[in-house]
Amino acid sequence: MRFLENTVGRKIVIAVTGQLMAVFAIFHLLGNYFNPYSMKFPDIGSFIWLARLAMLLSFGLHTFFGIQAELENHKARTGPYALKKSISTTFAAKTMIWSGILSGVFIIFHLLNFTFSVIDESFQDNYAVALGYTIGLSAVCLHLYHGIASFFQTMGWNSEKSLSVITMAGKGMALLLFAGFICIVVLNRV
Amino acid sequence: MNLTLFVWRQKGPAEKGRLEQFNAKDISPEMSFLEMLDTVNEGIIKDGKEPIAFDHDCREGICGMCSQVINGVPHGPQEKTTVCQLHMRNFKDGGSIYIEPWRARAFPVIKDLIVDRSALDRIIQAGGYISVHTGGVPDANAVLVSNDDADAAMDASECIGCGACVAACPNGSAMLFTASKVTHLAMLPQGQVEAARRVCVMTEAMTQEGFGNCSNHYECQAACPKGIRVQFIAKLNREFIRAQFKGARRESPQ
Ligand code: SF4
Ligand code: FES
Repeated sequence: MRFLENTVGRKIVIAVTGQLMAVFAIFHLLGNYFNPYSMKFPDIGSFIWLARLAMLLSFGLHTFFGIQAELENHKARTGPYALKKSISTTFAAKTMIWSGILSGVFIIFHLLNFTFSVIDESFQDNYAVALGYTIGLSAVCLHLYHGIASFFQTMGWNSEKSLSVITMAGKGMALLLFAGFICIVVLNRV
Repeated sequence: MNLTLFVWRQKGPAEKGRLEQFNAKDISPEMSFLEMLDTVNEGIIKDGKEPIAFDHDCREGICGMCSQVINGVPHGPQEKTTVCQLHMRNFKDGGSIYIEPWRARAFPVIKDLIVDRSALDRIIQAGGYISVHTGGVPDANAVLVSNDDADAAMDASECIGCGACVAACPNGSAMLFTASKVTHLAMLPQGQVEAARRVCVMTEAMTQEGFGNCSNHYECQAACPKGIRVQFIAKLNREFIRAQFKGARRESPQ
């Protein structure tokens, strides 16, 4: 249990679970453009259940440790500076807690909407829902703008030279995901 | 040069602080920032008031005492430069300068711009050392170290423990400081024996002291006067993962 009490241990849990969900998002996007059910995957059914279980677990751990870290970080600061300049951090990095909460709400909404069909308004015929999807997708991609690359730093999977390349690639990937998903909303809406 | 200063004044750790305005007149651009403050203080003392309290020691950029956030940046606007090595020519004549102490829960303000940074010492005490047999001085080159490793260890050891990384971090984390110490010793053969335990206890000590969790903002690297890089934090993370497989806990002498 010492692993989960250590600041680096918990950071690794946040990074791994986050990246698992990011990888899922990538496949999810591809699945929207190329229907996986039409391809001949052996036994995709049980694989999907495994993936769902992994996602549920990741979602829970990521949320728990993410919020815990944020609360501790808040306590670690004292009063704001009268003047404070940010030099290298990004808007995305500074708003992880908010983009994270919004993403969580959005994912739950999306599941109720598509997977469980509890909410049966779709973005195809409801402007408000389409707007909700746009905001939700923006939050997810803003979160990934910092998150994808951050994973590699947390795991130590970089070097003196590759750090900046990985950071750029992570940001690029987040933007690509945004473009891919938003196209689905826009194209189905218009 | 004539400048308007807004300086944080705080009587003691439990007191409420506030910004106080001072006019710094006839400042030479060749003065260091601390010399400028000395000049202002002389004026304040002549007026019979309490001078601005600030930390300093070596005034040559190696002790890490001069802890001031100047215009929103720890150690001020010049990259890789401590406050004592910062010169007034970096500021605009007639401009205003905000001067504040490091702000972090783990660094309580003692007075005005002076903070207590002994939390960093306690992180070192937790594991930032190697245990060696006493006795005769070992022969030079008895333990071989590759040039690349020696260079990396040397780079990491440049940290002067100033705490600017903490002051700059939106999470009040001391990860850059801790990582520089962990990397410094992890690069060398002498540091291997206690490596697994070291990374665990030092990061735990960091949390116990009330520092926050690193979330990869990299503000620390931008503020560090010694050019300590966040790649050392990646190295610390690798060391931590390696320690999990080495049973760091059981080796712990505590
Ligand atoms: S890492 Fe840099 S900023 Fe942090 S304490 Fe060491 S020298 Fe100062
Ligand atoms: S006074 Fe020693 S580093 Fe500035």
